[in-house]
Amino acid sequence: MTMETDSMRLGDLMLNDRGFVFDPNTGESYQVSSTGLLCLRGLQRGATIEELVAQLVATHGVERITVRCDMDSFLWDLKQLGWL
Amino acid sequence: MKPLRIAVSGLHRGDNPQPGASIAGAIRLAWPDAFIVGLVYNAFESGVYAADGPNVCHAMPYPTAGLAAFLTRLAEVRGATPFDWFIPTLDAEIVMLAGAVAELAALGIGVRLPDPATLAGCGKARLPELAAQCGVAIPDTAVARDVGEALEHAGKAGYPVFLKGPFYDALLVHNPTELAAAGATILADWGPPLMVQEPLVGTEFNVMGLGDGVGGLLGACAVRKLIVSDKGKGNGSVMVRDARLDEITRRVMAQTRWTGPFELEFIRDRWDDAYRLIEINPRFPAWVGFPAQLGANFPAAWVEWMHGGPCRSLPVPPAGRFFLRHQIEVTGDMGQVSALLEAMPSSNNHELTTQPNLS
Repeated sequence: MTMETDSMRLGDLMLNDRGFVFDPNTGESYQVSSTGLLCLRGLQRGATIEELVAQLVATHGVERITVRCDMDSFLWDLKQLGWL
Repeated sequence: MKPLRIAVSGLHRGDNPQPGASIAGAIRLAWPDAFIVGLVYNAFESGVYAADGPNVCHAMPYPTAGLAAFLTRLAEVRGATPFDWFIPTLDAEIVMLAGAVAELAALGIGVRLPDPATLAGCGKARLPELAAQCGVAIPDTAVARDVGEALEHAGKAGYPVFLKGPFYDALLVHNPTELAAAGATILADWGPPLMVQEPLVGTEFNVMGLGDGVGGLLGACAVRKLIVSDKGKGNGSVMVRDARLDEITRRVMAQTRWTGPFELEFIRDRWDDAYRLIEINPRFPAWVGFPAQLGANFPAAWVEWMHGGPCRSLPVPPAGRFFLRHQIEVTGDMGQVSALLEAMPSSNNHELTTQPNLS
């Protein structure tokens, strides 16, 4: 059986500027915040977690540790959805 | 290509929509001047009265009247309104006609159907065997010849269970009393066997396509149901793309060497994320008009195939496109009903004569 890799699942996600996310594999759709959208787009283009954290620290003026905790929580959600 | 004249059945588009009207629409999308002959069992099949409906409709005897009666009537209809091909859309028609391709050809009517052995091998009762051959998961299923056996299976499996008939109906029953009543109804309507099946928690997916008869595919596409009616019908679905579904479909086609239209029904199990094959329908589904509007016109490819090809390409429609079933009112005149009733075999009329406004 041909199995998709995780990166294919993440790469296949269809996103728009309003944070609407459609998973073409499951047919499910989701709404993410502007920060979540930034992360998803970053992950799709191959950014590392550290790069995304640094970007959010710079643009949102939040402490790194806080961003990292929120990022881990978000990544856990993505993993639960089978996107990572 | 000479002017297209093709017969289609299954024209009703109510809460349990049939595929015929969508097939006619898809054919007209490719050939606006196509001449469509509607074969109907009931004068109130809504597609008869649709603006883009068949050019002519003729009444047919139910398949339960037998093959001889069906073929005799087809010959009469073809004599009155010539056509070259017939796309049957109802399971009971297909089961009956799969073994009569030569007889249909002798009448000048072309069809494209799986052979009777393939069809029997893909029926609900034989699905476990086929699934094992293809390496495809299915829900735990037991086949029962009567209500007593069904009660026995359900007792072992534990309630609730789905009780299914050989062609239609899938009823969720929660105890022996419900099972006995549902079983009696299904047996009276469709005959044996009964299938006792574990209920799954998950999302419904369907794949439709055309099998080339030698183990391959002319094309296929997959949807996830977005809106499910209380009859379990997909009143809205979205195109999806999953290599696992493609692979399962290819395996089933290769194993069965399927000829013609098909629909595979799956549930993606919430617990293990595996697709479980629920049913194989030997026909175009009611949503066949959806991919046709996205450039994958399966009925048109069917027509070109019947012509000896080459068939148009059937590109996989883009994921994320969806359809919603939108019911509208079609209007008719009782004179039209009367004309169909006059030609309707008496065995079909019971549903009509009980309509209060016709008495």
